[in-house]
Amino acid sequence: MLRKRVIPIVLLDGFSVLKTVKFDVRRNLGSPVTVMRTYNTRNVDELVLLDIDASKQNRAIDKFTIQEIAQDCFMPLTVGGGIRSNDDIRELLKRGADKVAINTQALLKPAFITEAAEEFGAQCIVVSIDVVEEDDKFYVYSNGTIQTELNLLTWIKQVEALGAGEILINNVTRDGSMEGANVELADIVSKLVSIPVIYVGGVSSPEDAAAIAETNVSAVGIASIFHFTDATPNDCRMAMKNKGIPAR
Amino acid sequence: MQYCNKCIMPATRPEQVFTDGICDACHSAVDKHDKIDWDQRSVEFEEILSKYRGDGSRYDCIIPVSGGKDSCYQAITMRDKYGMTPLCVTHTPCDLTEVGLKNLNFLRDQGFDLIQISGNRKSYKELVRIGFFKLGDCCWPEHIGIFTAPVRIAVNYKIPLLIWGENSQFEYGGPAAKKENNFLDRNWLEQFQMSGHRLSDVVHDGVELNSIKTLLYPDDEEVNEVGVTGLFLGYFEKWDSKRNTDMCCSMGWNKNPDGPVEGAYNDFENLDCKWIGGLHDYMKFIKYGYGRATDQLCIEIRAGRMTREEAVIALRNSSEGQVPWKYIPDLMEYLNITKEEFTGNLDRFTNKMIFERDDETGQLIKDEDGNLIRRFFPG
Repeated sequence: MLRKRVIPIVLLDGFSVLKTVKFDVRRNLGSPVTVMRTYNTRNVDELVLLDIDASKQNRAIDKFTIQEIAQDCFMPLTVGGGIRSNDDIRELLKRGADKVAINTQALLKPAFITEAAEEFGAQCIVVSIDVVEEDDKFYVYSNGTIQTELNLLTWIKQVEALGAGEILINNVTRDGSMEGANVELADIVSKLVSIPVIYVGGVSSPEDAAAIAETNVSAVGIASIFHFTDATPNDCRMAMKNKGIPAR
Repeated sequence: MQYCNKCIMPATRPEQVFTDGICDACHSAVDKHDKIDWDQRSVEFEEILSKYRGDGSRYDCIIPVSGGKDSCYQAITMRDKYGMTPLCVTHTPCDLTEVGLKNLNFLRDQGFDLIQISGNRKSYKELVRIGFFKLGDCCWPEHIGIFTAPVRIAVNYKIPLLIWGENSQFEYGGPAAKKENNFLDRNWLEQFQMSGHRLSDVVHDGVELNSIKTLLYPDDEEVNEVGVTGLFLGYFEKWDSKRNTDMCCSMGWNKNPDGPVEGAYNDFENLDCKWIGGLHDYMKFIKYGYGRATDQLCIEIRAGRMTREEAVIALRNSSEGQVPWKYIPDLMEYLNITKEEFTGNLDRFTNKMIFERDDETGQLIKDEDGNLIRRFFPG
């Protein structure tokens, strides 16, 4: 069994690191370089950096900010935000990103997933999917609305078939709540596909992260408890090991 | 870059929330001046204090002090207005200035007992190094010590009540849940004072936790046994930094002898540490695009002592954004680093979106004095 990864999720608004609640209320947490250096110190498995305003503002995540971060980032770095073309991807990989996360453009033009995977290799292409929970059901969420015409599970299968190397599931409903992740969602998605799945959203404690890691997911993405409590990635890995789950 | 429509604070300030184009702190200022029932809060405060107040034979509260105008005001007010018997506790800053020492002595001259907590300089220096190189904040351990040393003394001397100054989330902006808070605890420290780093992280850099005991927050058991309660004075009475300064000055407290600290607008803040006023604030400037003058001018606007237009002009005329060279050689010597290492680190922390840069290479563009060029300025 592969070791389960613990991945800090770092959101940017173009200028600063921030943390959202339900993708809405925002807290500005300062400098991306500071955050990266702390996670470098903590020797985390991987880092995901997403500019959540890039698509809305019709721009890509800033290449020089990525260059600055990648320069002494020891961890594999996944970067997302406003990526629309293979040129965008090439630029970010050149600046030091190891993988890219695609969300909006994958929904607008699913064939882009295939184009990107063919040019850069599937291992480099992460498709990020925002999910909301409603009445015990799960839906795709984009541009501030529920995409009712798109079935989540169908979309996930399609993303895999189109050639994505990894799927990042971001649970909007639990985003920033620190009230507990949705194990059921992690379980359903990770059983549905054979590519690696990262679950993100609502993790309340290292033990909760371990509960997610007990499903088939390959990684747990976490933000709030690292920003706002004394829990560290190492605590999460210890909690996983305590449950007999292989972690680094 | 978005600036508040009432004051001149940009949205890049950590923990600042904007609603309808107005920053949190300006919304708070409206509450502070027009909505909060301060008489009611004063009654509430008296009820609390009456449970702690002694007969003067023992200390009945702790005032965390730096010797600054706010903490001197807190000590004097708690004793003379509220009849308490305070013990003042100070955490020695990175490098105490002459005027900082004078002001600590001012407090003792006013009749206060003072306990000074100074961590060992060997490990402290390593934390300054971590702060400077990893967090973009040369005074990182100072921010922590200010909040742990008084709690440590509270636990050890069994003095449960601590009186802090203003609630900075209320006065200067922060998440809603923390703005109405009247107390300060360990999680507050973790959320707002530590730049996202934890003391457990310093072990990775070879600093043993046993060697930084003064910075470790007492554990829950110790805190609960004594019943440590940390209250914000600014929750119970209307906070006014000018009133604090005026009162202290009238009693012999010292402003900065050389005028405004580098990068600042006024001459009565951040006087105690060589690096907190100049360099720490400059590092804030390169990360977020605003410095101490902006902070101080915003306070003036919110207090109704200055218009936004006047503040913009004053900001233009201030030294905010200029590299504060005065005490930088001391820091380079202290950390045993070269000027290249020093400047290189500042460049790494400079927010590439906020300052002029070469569009091809990303290289920062500086003026002939080595200062960055802002792309944004409050209009």
